[in-house]
Amino acid sequence: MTNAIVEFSKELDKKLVPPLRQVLKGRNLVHVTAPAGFGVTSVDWGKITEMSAGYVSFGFSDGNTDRIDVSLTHSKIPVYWKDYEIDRRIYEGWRKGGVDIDAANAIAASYQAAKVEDSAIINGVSDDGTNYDIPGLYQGAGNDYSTSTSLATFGTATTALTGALNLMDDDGVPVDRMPFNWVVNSTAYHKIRKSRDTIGTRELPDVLDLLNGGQLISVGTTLTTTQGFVCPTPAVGEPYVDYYLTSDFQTDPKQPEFQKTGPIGGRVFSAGVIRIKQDVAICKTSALA
Amino acid sequence: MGNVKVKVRVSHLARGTVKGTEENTTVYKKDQEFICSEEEASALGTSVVVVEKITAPVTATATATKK
Repeated sequence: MTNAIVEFSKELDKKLVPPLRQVLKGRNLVHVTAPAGFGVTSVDWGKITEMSAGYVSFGFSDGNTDRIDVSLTHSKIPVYWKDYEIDRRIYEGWRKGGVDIDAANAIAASYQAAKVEDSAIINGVSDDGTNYDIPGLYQGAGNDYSTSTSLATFGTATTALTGALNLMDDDGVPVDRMPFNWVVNSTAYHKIRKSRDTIGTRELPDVLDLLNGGQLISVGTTLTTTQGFVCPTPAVGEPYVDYYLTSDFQTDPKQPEFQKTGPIGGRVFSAGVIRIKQDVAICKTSALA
Repeated sequence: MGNVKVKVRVSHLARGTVKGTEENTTVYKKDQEFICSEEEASALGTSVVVVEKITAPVTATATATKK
């Protein structure tokens, strides 16, 4: 029976992957590493704190070693999880005749775990909601454009976006040749999409043009209505930020309390940590309205 | 709510109060300090750290005593 439950769990895993790909928002914002293994509980990584100036001369000389100042950061790797139960008759039906599994409970549980992971990547990991043990993209941003921006007014979205890009440009981030995503709350997202001037010209094409091939992205209510941030797309963002994945989403079956009739329980989990290597490549837009 | 003195923790902080315009926007660099309301400091979150709470000066009030 144990083997059957493990097989059942594998079937569930197959059913979880496609819907999760649709709902996972955080992982679409950053480069994701290959799973390193669930046994990895912490990671040491280099955070670039300061770049020394380059040199110009008509030849190379000794003694002027140019280097990047890296501070070693140690992060514990959190797990994101949710338990579920599946009716015993569904399991028995699958075991007996290969009846298609109704994985609704497991999928619902995985959505909840996915939300927690999204929040960890986008906002950060916090006990009290104020102090962040592991800052995410918003809380860990190295620049902040906090000029009050009423997105319902035509032109203000582009003003805020150029303001944010300008701050990153001042820090040496090559904003003119890199695609960026602008990540906002759902309310802000729809305000920007519907913004038009008095003759009906939409503001969205201008916003997308400024993003250099990146996108305007809604993360629902993971951020509040006033919060947003601009960050490099995953295609070019790896030197600045990545998501160190140790375990991709999977299920772990639990032995039923009653051998013949007990519901089949399980746990959906993933594990990983966001690593912001150069925080100046992320800019908050923290006063949207 | 009162005012607080805050220190900038991020590389650059663009702070403005006029909606939809960059006029009156000031860009502060890391470790610069400014005074703002507690409400604004709270909204700025991890971008600033509160270094001092500004207390209003006590104003003397004249009282007449009848003898």
